Amino acid sequence: MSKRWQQALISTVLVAVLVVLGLYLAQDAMSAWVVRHNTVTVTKTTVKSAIHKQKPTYNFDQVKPLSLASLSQAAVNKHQVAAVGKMVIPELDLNLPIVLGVGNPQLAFAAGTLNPGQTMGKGNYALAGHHMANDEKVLFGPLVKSQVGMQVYISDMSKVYVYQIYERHYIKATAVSILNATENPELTLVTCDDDGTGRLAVQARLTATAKLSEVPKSLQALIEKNV
Amino acid sequence: MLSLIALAKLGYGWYAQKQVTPQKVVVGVPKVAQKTSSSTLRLSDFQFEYAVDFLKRPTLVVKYRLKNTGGESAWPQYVLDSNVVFAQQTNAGTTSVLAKTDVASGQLSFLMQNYQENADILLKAKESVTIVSTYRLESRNRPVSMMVGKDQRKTIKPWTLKQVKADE
Repeated sequence: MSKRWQQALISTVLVAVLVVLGLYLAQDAMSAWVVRHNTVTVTKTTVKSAIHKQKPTYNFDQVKPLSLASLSQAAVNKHQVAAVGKMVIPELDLNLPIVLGVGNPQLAFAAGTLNPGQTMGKGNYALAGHHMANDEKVLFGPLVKSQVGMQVYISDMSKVYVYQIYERHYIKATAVSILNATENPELTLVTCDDDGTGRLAVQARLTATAKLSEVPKSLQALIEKNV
Repeated sequence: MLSLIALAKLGYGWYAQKQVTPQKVVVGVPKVAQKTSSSTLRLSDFQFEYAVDFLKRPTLVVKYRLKNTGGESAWPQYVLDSNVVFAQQTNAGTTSVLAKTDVASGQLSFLMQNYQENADILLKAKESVTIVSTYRLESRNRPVSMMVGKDQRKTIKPWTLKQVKADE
């Protein structure tokens, strides 16, 4: 009997080790899959109710790299995340909800605002997003392909604000001056570097504003699409 | 078997980071968003060196001249970035457009630091200037494509570049 128990114990331990190793090998791919298959709905209604729904945190220092565990938890609590807008860069196939604050659950599936009270089309509108090295098509990953001159569109689902990229620069994680208020309306996108100690900052200037109903249908469709 | 694969994955990752072995990689050709240089702004005399940035990442040091034959001032860094793209393959196999970074202190000579400062000083009409811009590399082992418009003008091999010197 004891021999049977021993064999059962060894088998259980072996299976557990295999599962852990399998998860380790596949965790990056699984994390990217979780991000791609969880959407945050963005409509005029969700935008109006978002401000009252959330108690955002703006402490960027506390943002942790994405892990399978944190993503799984965020997926379960996704209904608590409310979007205040959308960001679209058609040339990069980037289409992300914008949420208030940079809490870990918020940044799991969206771009988060870095300053409390910031308004689209005014001052420095700063957003943060994760960069997953193994899948650069999700979240802020496509920004590694961004170029000076590209157009970035952000919308609160009523108006569309068009920005043009003028600078791309790696900055220290402690370089918070990039979030300072600006005289002219600007957009600052900050992503996490691979090891979390540096960030890619993309800066853009406001070039145009229009009502969502007045922009080209293709752009309107992109902004209204929940991906 | 899984244990071995996991160990091998860990080991290979460590080894790849440590080695400097040139790889023959075909880099995708990203299209430059802006049109090519206007007839009043001339970029020329490109030279390349190697350095490391503030996070000890490999960095491409680009030295070039900008001539402004037009009537308006120009921002040199913007002129370069909107007309020339440096692209390199990432570890994940995608193509990345290199972004600016700050070289670790003590690497550039005073003259090179002056050239670097020129990148953000408006260049007036009928003037020309030498500029240094620094871009973070994905890897020192892979080639970099220098794109002007749709054309790949040059392939840069970072592993062959000289390291910058503090005293020149």
